[in-house]
Amino acid sequence: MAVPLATWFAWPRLPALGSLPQSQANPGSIYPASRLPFQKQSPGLPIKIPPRISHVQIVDLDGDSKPELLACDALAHRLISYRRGSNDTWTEHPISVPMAAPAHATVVDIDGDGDLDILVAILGNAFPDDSQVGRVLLLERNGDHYDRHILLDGIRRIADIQAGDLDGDGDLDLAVAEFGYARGRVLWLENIGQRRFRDHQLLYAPGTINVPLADLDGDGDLDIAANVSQDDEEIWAFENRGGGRFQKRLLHKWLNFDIGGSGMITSDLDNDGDVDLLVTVGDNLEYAYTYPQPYHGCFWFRNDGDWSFKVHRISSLGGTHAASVSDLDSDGDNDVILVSMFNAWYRDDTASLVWLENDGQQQFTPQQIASSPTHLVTVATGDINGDGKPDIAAGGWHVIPPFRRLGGVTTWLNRDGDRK
Amino acid sequence: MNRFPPKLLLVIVLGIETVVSGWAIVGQLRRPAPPRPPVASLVDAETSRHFRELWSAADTSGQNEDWLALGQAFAVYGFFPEAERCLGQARQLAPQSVDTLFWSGLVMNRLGQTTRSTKYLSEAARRDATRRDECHYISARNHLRGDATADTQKAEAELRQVSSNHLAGQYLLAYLLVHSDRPGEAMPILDRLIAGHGDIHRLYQLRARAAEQLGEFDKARDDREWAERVPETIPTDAVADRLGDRGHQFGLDNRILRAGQLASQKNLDAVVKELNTILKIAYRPRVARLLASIELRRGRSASAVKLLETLIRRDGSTADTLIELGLARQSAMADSGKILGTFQLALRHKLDPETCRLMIRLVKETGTPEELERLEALHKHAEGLQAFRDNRLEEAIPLFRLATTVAHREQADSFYFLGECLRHQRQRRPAVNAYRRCLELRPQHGRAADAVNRLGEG
Repeated sequence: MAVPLATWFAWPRLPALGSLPQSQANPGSIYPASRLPFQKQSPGLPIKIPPRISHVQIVDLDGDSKPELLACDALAHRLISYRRGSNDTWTEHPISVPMAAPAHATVVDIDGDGDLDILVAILGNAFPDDSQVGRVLLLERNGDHYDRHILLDGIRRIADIQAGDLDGDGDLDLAVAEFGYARGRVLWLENIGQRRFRDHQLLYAPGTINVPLADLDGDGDLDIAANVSQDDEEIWAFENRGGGRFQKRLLHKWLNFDIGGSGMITSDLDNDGDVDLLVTVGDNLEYAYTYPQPYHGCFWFRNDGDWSFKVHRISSLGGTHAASVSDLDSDGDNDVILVSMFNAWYRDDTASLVWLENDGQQQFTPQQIASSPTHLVTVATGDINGDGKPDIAAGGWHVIPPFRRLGGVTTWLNRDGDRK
Repeated sequence: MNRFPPKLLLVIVLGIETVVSGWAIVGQLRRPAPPRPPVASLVDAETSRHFRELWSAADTSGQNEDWLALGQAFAVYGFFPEAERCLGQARQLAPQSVDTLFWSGLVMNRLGQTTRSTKYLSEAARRDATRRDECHYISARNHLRGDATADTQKAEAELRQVSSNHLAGQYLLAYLLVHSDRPGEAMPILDRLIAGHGDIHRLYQLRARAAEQLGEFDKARDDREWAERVPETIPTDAVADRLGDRGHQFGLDNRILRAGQLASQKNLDAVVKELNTILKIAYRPRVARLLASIELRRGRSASAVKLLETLIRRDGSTADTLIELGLARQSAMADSGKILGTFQLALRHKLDPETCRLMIRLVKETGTPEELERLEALHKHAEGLQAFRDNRLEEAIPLFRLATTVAHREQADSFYFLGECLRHQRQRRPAVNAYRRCLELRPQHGRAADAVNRLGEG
């Protein structure tokens, strides 16, 4: 009886020593460490609550030849500039103009008076909302302060504004991405003087994220590109036919309902003299807990002329949310910098910031710069510290778990060659 | 009689016992251990505790249901590789379980393993007719992720099996046809769906796209205008919805759900205590909002103000939170300027009739007649917009008329929307007059100028 009794007693206490088959799942996007060294800095105050930086850029806002960082803070509903002092210190300067959930800031001298004004794309609500809560806001520089002007309201959530002379009359007009939620539009705003802009609809579709301006067909005027990401996942262009007339052209569409368009920039990536597009996909915000998908990443739309674009996948970084282009390693070609909002963040080693080294033939090798902070949605490159090398700034948008490895605005100074 | 001596018998029995027990012990020792990611550092303490219970159940019982529950918990908290492993074990224990197959399909979808996801979902659909539509719909989405022609054909084949009353599936089929340059095939589907669901804007938007492809531009414009003034949408995130629904069964989310269900006038003290405990475990904005609203209802306005101020600091301000804060401050007898400021801030986030109404009440006591008049006009404008968006044009017209009697910031827009309402009612001349009035006030109003041009009056 002793053996069965002992077995009966021990039975529930016996540890499980077997193991389940290993998961065949993709563990998240992880890459070899960057061969270029970077020094990470966190400008601004210590983080107490999860930040929501919707946009960051490197720009000389005050004209002192030293670039600042300009960030849209959609949690505190304000713009903040960060100025770099000596000894790698930063000071934070909120721009005290009231606004609700800024999505994007475009720095431009809109009135031609020699100083830089700021156009702010106002979401009104950072979360899904289909009502008319958006605004096109102009912060007009006036000495040491900004005067606030609403250029357009009564519209849905605005995600992007870009300025350029779209009708060839010598003043600056605007392209506007009315993201909305279930309904939205692409607009161009004709400058009719005295800070008045007449709105014209180019496309009726919800979910437009960016409307970069560039001469896409090389005919000397500015065209508008738009990435539409809600009901449809499409890349559109609006060919400038002069006199405020535009012809819409569908450049690409994905039938993948889940692809999650997240951003688009223009760049002559292959240095062949025309303007290409870089499109990122990887949005996953419909899920409370996200996971990187194999179709996420970055596409290069190579401009082959005559409105023909050849699409090349150049990265599969999970949850890719934004891209920037710069010659990080100073070898004469364009490299690509990507940030991820939705990698497998439960792991500590998954990438949030990578650069794709260009071999000169547009073959790219991914290298991991950082895995912290996570949830990066915006990235910019520029020479922050005046050493002639491009540095990186990125912003974190922490609205879904895990809430660790937090970051608002973070910079990575390029230390390439510092050791030599 | 003594062919087996007792000693020998004892040895034999002992031997058998040892062999059987040993076999059983080895079997028990070799059972698979549930995966144990470091949840304690990744989720809140309550959820972590629930995970320990689920681990223990799966570990000790070895039943399919327990492994399935653990797999589901992993899935809803985003531990998808661990969920896959648990569901694999559940499938091994009960290969016929429809729940296990279905959840395996969902988890594979989240892991991006679409072929395996579709395989499990097909099997679940075959075994359970009630899940057929949902399984085919998610499988179609899986195929579309491939983004190649063959994948599109497979997606269409899946969607052709979805029943005609599955709205998301029918919408996706029409979407696929429109975006595969087959608008003519999509049209009858969209016409049928709109006949049955005339209040869903996505259907009009898609039909507009189809009409445009067919060269029917007037029809396309009509549909886009309809899309502007019908309120409903189609839920198309089936996997996210399934995971979200199941989330309430586990961890802190389950405790929040139970606390919410407890709430009644009789036991508010207990609910408040429980919600405070939950907030201490992990700060959840919706819990803070619920708690503030209960505190306000109990007359504890100072507590509600504090909760809402913290909520805004931690989660940002929205129109809704600011309105609640304004109400709480009002109830706490705060300075009227501060209350008005809060409502004004809410208006900056959203032009909302309720906010206008609350402000009117305050301005009646402290403001000037001009301020009051402007606010009342704004209130009518906001109500008019709401009616317009719900296609209640009969109600919207008098509201916009009232809104246009007084000068206020949105007055040009009030004239524009009055014009829109009248145009949709085919009152051409009054509509043109309204648009023109809008353009007098705001010459740059592009939509009004377009409307005038379209009516041949430009």
